[in-house]
Amino acid sequence: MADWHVVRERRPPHRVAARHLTPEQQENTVQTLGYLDAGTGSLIASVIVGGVAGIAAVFKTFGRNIVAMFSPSKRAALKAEREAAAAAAAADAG
Amino acid sequence: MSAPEGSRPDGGAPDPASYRDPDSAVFRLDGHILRGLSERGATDWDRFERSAAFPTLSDACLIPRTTSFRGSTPLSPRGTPWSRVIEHEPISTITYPYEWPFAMLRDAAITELEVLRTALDDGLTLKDGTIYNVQFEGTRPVFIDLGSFAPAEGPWPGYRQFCETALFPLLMHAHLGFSHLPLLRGRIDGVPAEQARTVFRGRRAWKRGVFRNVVLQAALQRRLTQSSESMKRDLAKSGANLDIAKATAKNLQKLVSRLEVSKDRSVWSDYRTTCTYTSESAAMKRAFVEHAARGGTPGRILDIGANDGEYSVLVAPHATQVVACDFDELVVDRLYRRLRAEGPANIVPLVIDLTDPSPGIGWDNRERAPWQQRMRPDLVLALALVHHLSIGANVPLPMVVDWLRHFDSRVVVEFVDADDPQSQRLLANKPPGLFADYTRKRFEELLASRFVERRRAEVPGQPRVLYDLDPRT
Repeated sequence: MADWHVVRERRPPHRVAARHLTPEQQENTVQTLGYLDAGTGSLIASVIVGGVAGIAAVFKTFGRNIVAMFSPSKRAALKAEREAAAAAAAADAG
Repeated sequence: MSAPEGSRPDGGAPDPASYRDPDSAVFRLDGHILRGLSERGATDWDRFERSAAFPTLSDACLIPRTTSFRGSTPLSPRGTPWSRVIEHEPISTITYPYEWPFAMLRDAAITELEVLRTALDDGLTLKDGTIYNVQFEGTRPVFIDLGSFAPAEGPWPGYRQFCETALFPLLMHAHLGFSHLPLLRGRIDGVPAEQARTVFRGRRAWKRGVFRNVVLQAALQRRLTQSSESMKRDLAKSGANLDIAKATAKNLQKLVSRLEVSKDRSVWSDYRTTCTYTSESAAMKRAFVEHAARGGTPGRILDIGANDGEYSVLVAPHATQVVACDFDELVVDRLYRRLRAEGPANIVPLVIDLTDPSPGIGWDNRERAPWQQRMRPDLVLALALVHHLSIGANVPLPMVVDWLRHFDSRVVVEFVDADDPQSQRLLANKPPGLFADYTRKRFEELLASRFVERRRAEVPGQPRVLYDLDPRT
């Protein structure tokens, strides 16, 4: 499952990115923004425009995140799960 | 990304429209249109040249003829030597999407998607999707950015750019009647999804193609912050492979092909039927214009105020290319459709308001050059135009004549006297006495200091005169 960051506030994506990406992801973004930034949302939209197979691929990758985007309770559940995982990882590291 | 600009100096300076891709840039050297490629760019080019897509696209004339270039060339804009240099056949006149009527923009979009589909069939994709990668040779769209072909992986990276510069403007025009011209002229990168979303609220969100491409894309852009490169990898793992990119391109092409504008009567659309020419005077005018076009060596003819293109069509057999400009979008759209269906194929119709022609936009105001800088005519036709500029748009007569001189080419100009019914119609909307200097005598005085007259002819039974002029040096 890809690690998605669901953002509730409406603000320009670049401002959101700086605040919500993990340091690793920020690093990754800087390194991989090539000649053209295809745009993450646009990439997924283009796959969905590809029809049934595209929609299936998107759901396979991000099904739970998509549901969370439109449901506050699922969003809260997903967030809690992530926090628990992060806490467990921190405990392991400690 | 790259447009072989005709008006640039010939010394190998990079084309101002070709700086965004570090792996490929266009420059002009001693009359050649050249493209420098980095090592990676050269690898991609080799892959494209060896593919079946290359001959397919070349044979269909969808890409310009391209060969290797052996001569010495300047360094890249980043100061490094090029790994490889290739030469493109030049485009006669560079034009931009904010000068194309609806049907032209739609054909350009269909062409770009056709090129993409052909590339995808061979495991290649287009790195970007800007509609500026399409130019028109006459009425034929040509995909000019041959540095854009690269091995395909996952979804089409040019989708967002294609949406912003072509699909959203087309959707807004087709569904809402909102002309794409000011949208594209106002921002070189087109209309962002978020902005398009604001005009497709409520039931409009369910118009053809809007939900997936506008609503969904805007929502996803707003909510996702993962980097696009890692997203590409995640999608690829889940099976978003080449077949899905192919389906995206196919569905987009189907959508774009089905978009259409609602047809309305425009200001000029009935001009030819209401204008004041009798058959005798029309025949005389046609003979005068054709004589001028036939007289010189065949070259580029610029028809300003072309209306339905009657005179552009008349002179087309005597020219390599005619650029037909008019400010009425609907008339130009009709002209383009007629030319596509019936020919002649060497006319490029453009929507140009002569009192407000396209400015220089983009980086350093030079990325997309102003209209007049791109027009390098051998002959200018300015028929039934001066009274519209001088009386209709209040441009003083000396400024109109100076402007005609700026083209630095042979000019065929028609002067319509203030007594003519067409001039009277324009004067009827203006306070009396404002245009006392709008006389044939004054016009001829102004011409005499700027041009050398070859011939003139009075239109029989009408207060109109035609002049065939050479610029005075």
